[in-house]
Amino acid sequence: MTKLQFMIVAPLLAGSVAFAQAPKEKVNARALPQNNKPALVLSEQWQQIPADVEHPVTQAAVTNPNLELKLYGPDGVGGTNPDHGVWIVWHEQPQTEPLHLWTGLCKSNCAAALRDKYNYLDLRDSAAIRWDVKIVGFHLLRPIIKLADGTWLVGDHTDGIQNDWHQSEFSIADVRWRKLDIAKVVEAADGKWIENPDLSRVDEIGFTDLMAGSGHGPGGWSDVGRIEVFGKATPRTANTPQTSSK
Amino acid sequence: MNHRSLMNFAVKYVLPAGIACAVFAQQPAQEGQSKKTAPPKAQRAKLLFRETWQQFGPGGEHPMAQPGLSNANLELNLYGPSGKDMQITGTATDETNPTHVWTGLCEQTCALAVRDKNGYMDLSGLGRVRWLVKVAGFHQMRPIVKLANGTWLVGDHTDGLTADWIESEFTPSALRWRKLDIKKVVEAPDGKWIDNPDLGKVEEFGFTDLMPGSGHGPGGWSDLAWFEIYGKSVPRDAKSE
Repeated sequence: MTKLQFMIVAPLLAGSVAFAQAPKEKVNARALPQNNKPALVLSEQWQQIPADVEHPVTQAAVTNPNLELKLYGPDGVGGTNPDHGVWIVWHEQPQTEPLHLWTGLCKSNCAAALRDKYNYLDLRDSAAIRWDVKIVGFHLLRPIIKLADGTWLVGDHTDGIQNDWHQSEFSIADVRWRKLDIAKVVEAADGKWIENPDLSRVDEIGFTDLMAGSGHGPGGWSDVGRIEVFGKATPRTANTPQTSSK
Repeated sequence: MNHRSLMNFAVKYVLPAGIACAVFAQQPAQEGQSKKTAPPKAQRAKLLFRETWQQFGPGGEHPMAQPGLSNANLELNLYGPSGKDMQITGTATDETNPTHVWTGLCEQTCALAVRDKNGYMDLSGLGRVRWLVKVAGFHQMRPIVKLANGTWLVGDHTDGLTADWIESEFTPSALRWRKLDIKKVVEAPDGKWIDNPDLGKVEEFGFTDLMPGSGHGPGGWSDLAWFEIYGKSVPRDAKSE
């Protein structure tokens, strides 16, 4: 083959090969789902009742009638004590601050979680959590879950200090878990990573920063506004809502 | 010589010669300048003191106290709601379980610091800290300092989960610091980064993980075996004593 012949034939050959490959690539592209994000199965944006600036959070703050609010830790429940536990806060200014739960007055570790009365959450596959958060100081906000067998886990995903509110989203499949001592809200004493936990039936989902709050002012605490969970709902055994004993 | 030849001559001979002369002329000036203005070469800080802890009383695991210090020049201070619950445990001859301070039994936050009776610690510049640590769970061990003016700071250096003891070293002047509420051992409410704190006169140095411990077992806590302070000693004046 002369040089001239090669210069004519080679591009044609390359073009033919590329043309032959194209449909195959298109088929592969079609094999991927257009949107593999699972459905929104839990969403809570909170409400302020009574409508003041801040007070200890109660069930009245939950807008979704299917959800139960659960508070944990030696100081998780504020109750009537004005300076303890998780609070719900809403400032009209700045306007960018959403209604949110605040851990600043937790004198020791605290946690909050939500429980769907009718369904377990199936958080396998592409399940994800999206939340609006603001963290100050050296606190690190982490997800917690309660499995159907009662085991509590705390994840290695963290959201840390930010100057303003931001939305954070993470895939449950990327999280590595350790057991949580929910009574004290500290890592459980066995100190093991829980590889491949059964996330097909999650009873409760929530958050903790595993630390005490610094009180009023921007010292060290976690703010959590809207919480959204993407996954599947798995009905609890009975059709009637099941309220947890705790 | 026509115009083109004149340009050729200039590019080939005059321009390179001019550049060479300029470079040659610059060299003595630069050398002379560097000799006059170069800052003194930074020196690595020397070991100011080392603390390895020592068992006392019954041995084994028991609350930490002043006799646990092997260095007679140091004073021990325990802070936080659970400071008194910090334990000394281990044995000096066991490299897998050396004598160390352990935060596991702190039901609330706790912190430990030492004060050098001989003077302030100058941890500015290349002052550094080296420590042997083991951390479990999601705990993160951090340095704390008390400045000469009484301000407590907690640093953004962290040592986290490890399967075994590790030596870790950091330079305090390179860290970012926040004020510490030493009574509660939580971040102070003002929430400010303290830029360029005066680390030239540090009254106390220590550590905290800002978290309660998980009790016995490898749940979540911090272990500190020996630590070394590299820096200078600065005499306290009569007033500050």
